[in-house]
Amino acid sequence: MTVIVDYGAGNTRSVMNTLDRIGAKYTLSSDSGKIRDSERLILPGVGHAGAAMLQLNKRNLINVLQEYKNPFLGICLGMQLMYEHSEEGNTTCLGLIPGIIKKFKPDLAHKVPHMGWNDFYPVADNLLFSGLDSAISVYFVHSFYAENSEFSIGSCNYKILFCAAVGYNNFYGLQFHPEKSGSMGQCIIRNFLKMENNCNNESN
Amino acid sequence: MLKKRIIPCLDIKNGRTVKGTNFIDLRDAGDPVELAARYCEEGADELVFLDINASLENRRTLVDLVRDVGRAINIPFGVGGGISDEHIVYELLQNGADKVSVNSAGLQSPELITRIANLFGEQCLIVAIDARQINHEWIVHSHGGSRPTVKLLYEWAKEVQERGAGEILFYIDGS
Repeated sequence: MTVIVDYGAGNTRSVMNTLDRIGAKYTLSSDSGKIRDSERLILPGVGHAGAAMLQLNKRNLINVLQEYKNPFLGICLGMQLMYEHSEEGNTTCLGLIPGIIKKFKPDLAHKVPHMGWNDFYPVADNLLFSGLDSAISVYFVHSFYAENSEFSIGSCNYKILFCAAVGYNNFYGLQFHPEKSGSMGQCIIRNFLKMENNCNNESN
Repeated sequence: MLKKRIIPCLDIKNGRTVKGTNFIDLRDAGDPVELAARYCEEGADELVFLDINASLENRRTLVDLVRDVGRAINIPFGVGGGISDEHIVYELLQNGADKVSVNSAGLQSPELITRIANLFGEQCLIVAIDARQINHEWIVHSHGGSRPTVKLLYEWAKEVQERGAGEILFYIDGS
C-alpha cells in the first residue's frame, strides 16, 4: 500500500484526488509503523521548511523517513525537505539527499515565487519519466530551489538552470506539482506507483 | 521561461455556471464541474470560479463545489466571491483550491489582503480589480462593478501588490 505522509503541511487533498483518479490504493497516515511498512511513500508539502520539519519532528517521523527503504517521492516542499539544509528559516532537513536548498533572487523579469507553467527537461533513462517527451510543461510554485548536481534527474530554467527533479537510491523528489500538471504530471505519478520495493535508481 | 497562461473564468450562481453581461441577463451555462473538466481537457492552464451570488448561506455550496472540482481536474484553480475572512480561505484551500480571489472585502478592509498573504502565502492570493472609466479616470468598483469606490486603478493595483497579492485579476468595464 502507498502511504501519503500526513503531517499538517498542505496539499494532501490534491495528491489524494490524483491517486483516486488513477485508481490507486493509498492511506493518509502519520503513524510511523504504517509508514515503515508501506510499499512506497509520498511526502507532499506546501508552506515553510522550518514549520514542516517541526511538524515531522512532533510526530516522531524523522527517523522513520531517514531509514525508509522503498520508493519515496517528495513533492515541492516535500522534495526540499529531503536535502540536508534549507535557507528557508535556516532549517536542518532530513538529509536523504546531499545538497542544500537556496532562495531565488528575484529581478524584474523573474518574480518570486516562480509560479506557473514552465518547461521541465527530464533525463531520458529514468523510470519515473518513462513515456514522456524530453521537454514537458509542468506547474511550479516555489521560492526556494536545489542546484543541479550529479543526483539531478531533470532540470528547469528560471534565470538559472535548477534541479527540478532528483533521484538518489530509493529517494525521488519533484520540485513542481505533478498533481497539478495535467496528464503529464499524472503520468509521472503513475510511473512512481509502478516502482517496486527496494528499487535502485539507475540513472546517472 | 514561464509561459503565458490561458485562464478561463467561470461565473457561478447557486452552484451553476451562468453567462451574462455585467452580471445581468444571466443564462444557465451548465454544470461547473463538467465544464471545468472540459476546459481542462481542451488545454486550459488554470481555472477561476467566481461565485457572483456569494453570501453566508452559500459558503457550504462553494466549499462543496471546490471539493468536486478538485476531484475532476488536475490543473490549478482559484475561487472567489464573498471571501471576507481567513476562515473561509482555510476551508477552500483545505478542500482543494490552489488560490482564492478577493475583491469587495479587500476594498472594505485592505488589511484582509495582508492577513491572507501572511497566513497562506502570496502564491495563493489573487486580488480581483474591477475598473470602469468615469470622466477619463479609471475608478475601482466593488460589488460586481455596481458601486464606484474612491480608489484609482493604478494606485490600488500598487497597494494590493505591496500588501502581498500574488496575482491581479483585472476586469475592465465589466467585460
